[in-house]
Amino acid sequence: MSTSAGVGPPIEVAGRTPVTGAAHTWAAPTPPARRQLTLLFMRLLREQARAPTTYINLLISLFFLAVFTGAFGNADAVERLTGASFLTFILPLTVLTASVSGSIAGQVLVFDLESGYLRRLLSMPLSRAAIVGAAILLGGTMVLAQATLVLGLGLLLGASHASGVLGLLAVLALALLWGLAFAGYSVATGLMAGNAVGAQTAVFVFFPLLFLAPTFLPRAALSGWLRTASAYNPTTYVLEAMRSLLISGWQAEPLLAGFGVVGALCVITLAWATFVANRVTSRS
Amino acid sequence: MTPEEGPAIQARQLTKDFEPDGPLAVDHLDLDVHAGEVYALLGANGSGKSTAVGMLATLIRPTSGSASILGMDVARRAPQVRARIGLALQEAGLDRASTPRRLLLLHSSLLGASASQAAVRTAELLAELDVEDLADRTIGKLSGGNRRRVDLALALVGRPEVIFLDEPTTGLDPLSRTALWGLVEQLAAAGTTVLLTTQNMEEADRLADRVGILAAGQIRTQGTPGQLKALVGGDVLAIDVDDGAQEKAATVLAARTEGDRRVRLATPPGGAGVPAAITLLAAEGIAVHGVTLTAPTLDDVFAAVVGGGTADGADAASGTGE
Repeated sequence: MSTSAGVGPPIEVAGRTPVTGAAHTWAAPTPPARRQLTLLFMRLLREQARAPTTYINLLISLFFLAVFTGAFGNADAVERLTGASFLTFILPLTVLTASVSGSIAGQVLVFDLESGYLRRLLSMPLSRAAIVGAAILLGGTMVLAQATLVLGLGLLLGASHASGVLGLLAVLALALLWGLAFAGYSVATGLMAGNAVGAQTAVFVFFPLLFLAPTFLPRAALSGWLRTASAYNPTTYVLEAMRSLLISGWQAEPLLAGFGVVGALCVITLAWATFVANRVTSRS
Repeated sequence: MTPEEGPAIQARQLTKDFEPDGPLAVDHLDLDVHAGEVYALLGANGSGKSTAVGMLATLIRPTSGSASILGMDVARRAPQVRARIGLALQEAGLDRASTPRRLLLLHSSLLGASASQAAVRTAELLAELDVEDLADRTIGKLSGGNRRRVDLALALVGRPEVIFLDEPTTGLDPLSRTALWGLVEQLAAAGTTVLLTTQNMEEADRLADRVGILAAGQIRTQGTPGQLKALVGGDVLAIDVDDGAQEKAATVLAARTEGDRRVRLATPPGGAGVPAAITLLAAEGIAVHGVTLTAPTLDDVFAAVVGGGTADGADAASGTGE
C-alpha cells in the first residue's frame, strides 16, 4: 500500500479516530435531501450525456418526423379537415415519441439495481426520495431536451404555432407531463421486474397506444372500433391538446381534457412508482 | 453508561425468515463485537453470513430480534447508523459507467464534504487502496480485484467507525488478497471495529481477534482462534492413503477428507492415537503412505463444530449462494 503523502494537509476534526492515513477530513453532517438530489441527478445526467443510446431516441423521433411528413405530407385530407399543414398536424406525434425518453428513469434505476450500486446508495445515510427522485428528474430533463429539439426543428421546417410562445411552452408542459408519466411507469415496472426489460416495457406500451389514437387523421375522420378505442385512449387527448395549441390557438376544452388526462396519468404512475420504490428500498 | 460504552455491534435473538415454510436464514443470533475488535463470521455458503451482515448494516429488515450499532438500534435509527458504518458486500456495488475518481468525489460530497475536502479524501483513498493509476478508467473495464478495491475505498470514504466486509477476498488473486488483509490490519490498528464474513480459515486466523462459526443461521461456537483450536482437544493426524481408499479410510476413522488421498482427524496430544488409527486401517486392508501430526487449524475446528468438511468443502457440496 502506498501512502497518501502529497495530497495536501488533512483537516483535523476532533473526536474521530483516523481510519487510515490522515486524520478525518470533514465533520459536516450529511447534506439535505435537496443537495443529495442535485448530486445524484448530476451523476446521472453526466453519464446519460455520454451514452450513445441517449441520441438514438432523438434520432428516432426525427426519423418519424421525416418519414411521416415525407409519406403523408401531400395528403390534403388533413389540411381540408383541420386547416393546418400535415407537418403541423403530425408534429405533436413526434414530440410525444421523443417524450417516451422519460422511461430512462426506470432504466437507470434498474441499471443501478443490477450492478449493486443501488444497494450501496441505500447503505448510505441518504434520502430514499432523493435516490429515486434523481432518476425521475433525469427522465423529465431528457423529455424536455428532446421535445424542445423536435418541436424546434418542426417550427424551423414550417410548422405553425397558433398560440404563440406561451402555446409552445404549453406543448412542452404537456410533453413533460407525458414523459413523467412514462418515467413513473418505467420506475415501477423496472423495479418490480428487477431488470432492464421491465423498465423498457414503457416503450412497448407506448406504440400500441399511439396507433389506437387519431395519429394520422383527426378523430372526426376515424370510424368504427378505432374511433371507439381512441375515445378511451389517453394519448388521444394529449395529441388533441397539442394540436389545438399549434393549429387553433387557445381552446379551453381540448386543453382541459389534455392536461386533465396527462395530469391524472402522472399522479397514478408516480404514486405507483413511489409505492414500488418504497417497497424495494424498505429493507424487506 | 452511554450507549457507546456497550459493544460496537450487538445482536439479540436476531432472526430473518425469508420464506414462511423454509428454514430461518438467521436463527436467533446473539452477537457482541467490541469497539476496535476484528470479528470474523466463518461459515459455508447459505449459513446466513450475508443475511446477518445485511440486517446489521440496515439493508435487510429483521423478522424478529434486535440489533444495535454503536448503541443505536438498526431499525429505529437506521439513518444515524448508516452515517457511521462502511459496507463492502460480496459483490462490489459500483456504478460501472463511472470512474473511481468520480465515484469517490460523489460519495465524499454525499457525505457532506466540500469540493476541496472531497478532492483531498479522494486522493487519499486512491493512494491507500493503490488504485491511483486506475482513477480515471471506467469501472466496468477494471478487473474484479481492482473493482473490489474501489468498492472498499467507497466504504471508507466517511471514515466509518464500524465496517462490514462481506467475504472481502473471495475471487481475489493471492497478491490482491494479501494487500487487502494488510488494509484490514491497518483499519484494526486505527481502532476501527471490523465485522468480516469469510469462508477462508487462513483469513479468519490471520485477521480476527475472535471468530464465530456460523451454520444454519446460528453461531455454533465463538472465541479467539487459539480458544477455538483448543476445542479440537489435541493434535490433528493427517494420514495419506492409496488412491481410491480415501472415502473408506474416512469412514473407518470417522475422519474428514483433504485433497485426493489424505484424511484428517483429531487425536490426543503427543500422537497417542497414531498406532490405533494405523491398526484400524490395516484391518480394512488400507495401505498407509504417510502420517503427519500437526496442531489443529480453524479448518479442523470448523469440521469438528459443524461436521463434515471444511467451509470450502461445504460450499462445493451445497452449491448455493447467499
